[in-house]
Amino acid sequence: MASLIAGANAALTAENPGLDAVLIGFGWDVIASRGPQSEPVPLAIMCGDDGKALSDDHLVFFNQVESQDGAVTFSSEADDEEIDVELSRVPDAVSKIAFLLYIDPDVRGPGDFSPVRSAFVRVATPDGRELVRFDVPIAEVRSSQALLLAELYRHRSDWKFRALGQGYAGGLAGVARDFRIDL
Amino acid sequence: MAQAEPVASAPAAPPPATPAASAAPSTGLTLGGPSTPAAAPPAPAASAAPSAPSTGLSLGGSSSPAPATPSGRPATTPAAAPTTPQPFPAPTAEEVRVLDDETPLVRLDPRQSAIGSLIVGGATATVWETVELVTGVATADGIDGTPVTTPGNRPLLGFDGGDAILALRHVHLIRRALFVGTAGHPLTVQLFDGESFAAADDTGAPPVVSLLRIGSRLELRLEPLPAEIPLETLLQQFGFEPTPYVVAREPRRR
Repeated sequence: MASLIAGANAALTAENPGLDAVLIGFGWDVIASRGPQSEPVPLAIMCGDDGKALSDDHLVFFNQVESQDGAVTFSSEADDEEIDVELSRVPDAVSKIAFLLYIDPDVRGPGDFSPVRSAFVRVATPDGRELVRFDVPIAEVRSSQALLLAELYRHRSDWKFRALGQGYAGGLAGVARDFRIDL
Repeated sequence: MAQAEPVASAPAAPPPATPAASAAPSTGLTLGGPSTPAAAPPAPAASAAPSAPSTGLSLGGSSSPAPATPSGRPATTPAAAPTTPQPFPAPTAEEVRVLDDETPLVRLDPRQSAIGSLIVGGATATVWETVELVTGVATADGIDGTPVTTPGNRPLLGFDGGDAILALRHVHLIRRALFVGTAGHPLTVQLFDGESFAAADDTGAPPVVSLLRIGSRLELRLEPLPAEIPLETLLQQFGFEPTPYVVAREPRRR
């Protein structure tokens, strides 16, 4: 199992012949509060060569649990939440799948990652064997409302995983603008 | 105006005091199947769109007699896999400016239904019923029934700063809701993505908007009422019965 730093990438299918599906697990630790809590929400966006979402139907989260093609699906398992990717079913038009974590923007705040002690994203095989893990440098993104955690991307005929950990100060509005989706 | 679907008049067992739902909502994932998260109540009979297409489930088999084979026995048609009924077409939040007699219904998409807050301005009362049939009412005088707190320590539905707010992160907890306005004043609905619309009763009666969750989508409907009626009567007509609020006590020990 490899632990990545921000900016690093790891080969998935090249290093694991026969790998045709992965589990993307998300976890976080929020400082308990008697008042309204920050609620992290994972989101996956399937993007084309231009880095933009193919469509509003090509995103997956807890209330849109399956992409149009069925290749990317949401579930709630051992990690706080999990997104499953069947690599063989990902349409050719998809160059990468971006994985984000946003703080639900309820107007009754708080709306950023300041109460989040830690967060991680990991890649595992369907039987749970962890391949790579990225522990997000939370201290650097506490004032953000959304994070671009990592991406799964095609590299020639293989799939690779890149750790990012970039914050969006504009929150979901920034995400919607960058990925050209309606949120 | 009674709801089309029956509502349990009383729960079989006393409900918990402030039912906090599980930390992560179950999504009932089906790989490769249609996108349907947690179990949702069946949609009530459609009444707003008389020309709406049928959404009845199509069971396997042909509607006309199967042709006979050379052996004389009718050929059997393989049963078609049952399809998930899709909701009838309805206006989207982008298409609606005002819910009124002409356009009483709006349907939100899965993102509008689950991100941030659904904010209703101008409401004097709001009513909630969860998927576990826990029901409560909030007005300026307080809360009747059982309040519901989400895992994020927020009321699932309640008043804040004069607005009725539904916590959409936990939209899967809500089954249906009601927003009651003031005669002569519209209700306003605001979504996270900036879309907004109003609900106005042209007859001068207080606008009443019902909310129903159907799978991953919320539908809001302006409910026509003949005249201003007491809140208690309104609740009865819509089949809401506030769940008695039971405060949890410490277990008795010897």
